[in-house]
Amino acid sequence: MIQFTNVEFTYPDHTFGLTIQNLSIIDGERVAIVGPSGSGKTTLVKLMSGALIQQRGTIISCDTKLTNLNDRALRQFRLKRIGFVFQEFALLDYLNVRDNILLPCRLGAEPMSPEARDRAEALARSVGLHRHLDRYPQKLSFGERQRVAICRAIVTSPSIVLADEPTGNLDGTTADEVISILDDCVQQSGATLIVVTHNLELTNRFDRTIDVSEFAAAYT
Amino acid sequence: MSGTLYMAGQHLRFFKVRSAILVLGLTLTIALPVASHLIISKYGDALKSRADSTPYVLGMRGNRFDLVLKALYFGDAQIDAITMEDVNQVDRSDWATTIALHLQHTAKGRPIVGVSETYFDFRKLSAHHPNIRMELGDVVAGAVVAEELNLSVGDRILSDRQTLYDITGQNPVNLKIIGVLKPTGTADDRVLFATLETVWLLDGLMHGHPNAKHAGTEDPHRQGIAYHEVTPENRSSFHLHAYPAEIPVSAAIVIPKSEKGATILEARYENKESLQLQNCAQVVDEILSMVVQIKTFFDAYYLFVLIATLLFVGLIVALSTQLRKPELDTIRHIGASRWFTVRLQATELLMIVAMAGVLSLAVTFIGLQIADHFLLVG
Repeated sequence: MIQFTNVEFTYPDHTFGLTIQNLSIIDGERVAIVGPSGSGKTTLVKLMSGALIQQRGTIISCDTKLTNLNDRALRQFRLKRIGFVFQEFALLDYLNVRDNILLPCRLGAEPMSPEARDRAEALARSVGLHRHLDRYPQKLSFGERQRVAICRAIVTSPSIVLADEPTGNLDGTTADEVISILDDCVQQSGATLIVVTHNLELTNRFDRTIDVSEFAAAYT
Repeated sequence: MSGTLYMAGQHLRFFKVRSAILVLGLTLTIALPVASHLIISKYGDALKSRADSTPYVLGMRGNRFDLVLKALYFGDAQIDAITMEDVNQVDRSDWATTIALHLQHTAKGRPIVGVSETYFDFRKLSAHHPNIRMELGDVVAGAVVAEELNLSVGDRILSDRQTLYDITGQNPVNLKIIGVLKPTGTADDRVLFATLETVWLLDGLMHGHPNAKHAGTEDPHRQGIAYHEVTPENRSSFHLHAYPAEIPVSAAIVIPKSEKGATILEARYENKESLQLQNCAQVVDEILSMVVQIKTFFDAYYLFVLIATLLFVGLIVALSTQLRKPELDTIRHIGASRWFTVRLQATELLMIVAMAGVLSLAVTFIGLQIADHFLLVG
């Protein structure tokens, strides 16, 4: 579960902030976060993952009060409990598909083991990438790259998957396909799925939609 | 394999050309000064060791470096000859013993060094074939010459014609290999040794011809009939056409019997107009001091190159960090520490330095081998 209580966050330059009195997302829920550009969607996601720390209030994520964690513990929390999917795919060019999927393991989320490799290959198979395991991202289409990114996000079976505009760089058909894959993968793992999107057509696929603009606190 | 090591390795592998350029650049920066330092040290040690074991060299007054380099390392420099009488005078003084050397000729491009018999003992040279006793027309091959020309005992080798277009010049002589020296790693490996008489034969000062009656002519000299090969049958017919006092030698190694003898000889030859007696160790020290001066210049040059290369590497790392910011941000966003990203880049740099180090060792080793083959003359 993710619980925001009386949270206030402001960027150091005071240009933008969020004020959230109460926000709960239950385990296994699929939530779409929408809002106009600059309304704080990415900020909200970063607060959920502990990448940004609020000035006031409490955020509890996966039964962990994030403000109680030091930097090292926060990194471990992100590494082990949260899977990320980025708009720009953010794959490492010099790692092949297999190694990109296993990146969280290489970074220490769990030891590199034959089981982890098997899991990576099974995931790749489930999204139709098993023939591309030894290929490098530059040789893949955008849709294939985002599928790799999805596999990387869920390879360590995280509790929460945060996807920041995962379809932003994809055409309509591919975007639909990627969301379906993301949805399927996350449902199988039982994780909570939080997707930031501009595409309102996609929101009907989710259990709930949160419009972040209602939390925005603009500064001048 | 740890995450950083694996990822650093994959990064270098993926960007092969960039990695190779960095490795090669560093290799040259490391290997050149190291190799040149080692080669110069080795070259200097070899020169010094031979000079230290050769007390003095007597020769015609002129360039002392040419004289010592010629007498010790059989270099290419042309020096004027002295006479056997000059050498005998030293012997008669009873202050020193001498070993005459005569270098004027070549066979298949390798120097033929005419020496007194004591030369082999003086240099502690030994042959694979025991009991070498050179006679007229015989040569003993140095180890490298024998290997390069595939010579063995019993083979024959023709001396080179000195003036190709002079048909009145001395004809080449077919010389017999009677021994091959064991390798010493010195200049002795790269020459053919003969008796002084054999070299005088090549000079044209000696020759052999059939007895006038056998040749069916009154004057075989006038007929130009002369043997071009010394055999047991014709050896006795060879004779010298010069006054013994005028017979030329290139130089002589002078070995004083005592310090007093050395001092007296040095004083005696100091003001001689036509002759010079050079202390080999001092002359080689002078040569090496010049080499060291040049090396100091190159050391400074290499230092600047090293600093420039390190600055370039620093620049490349800084630019690479900027270019890789999105990648490093992603890694950190997923949960890696800043220390991990620093370690990742440091590991890549260390791997490049390590590869350059290994390659430098290889290049240095090859450089030393080449230097051994072509440069070292000790």
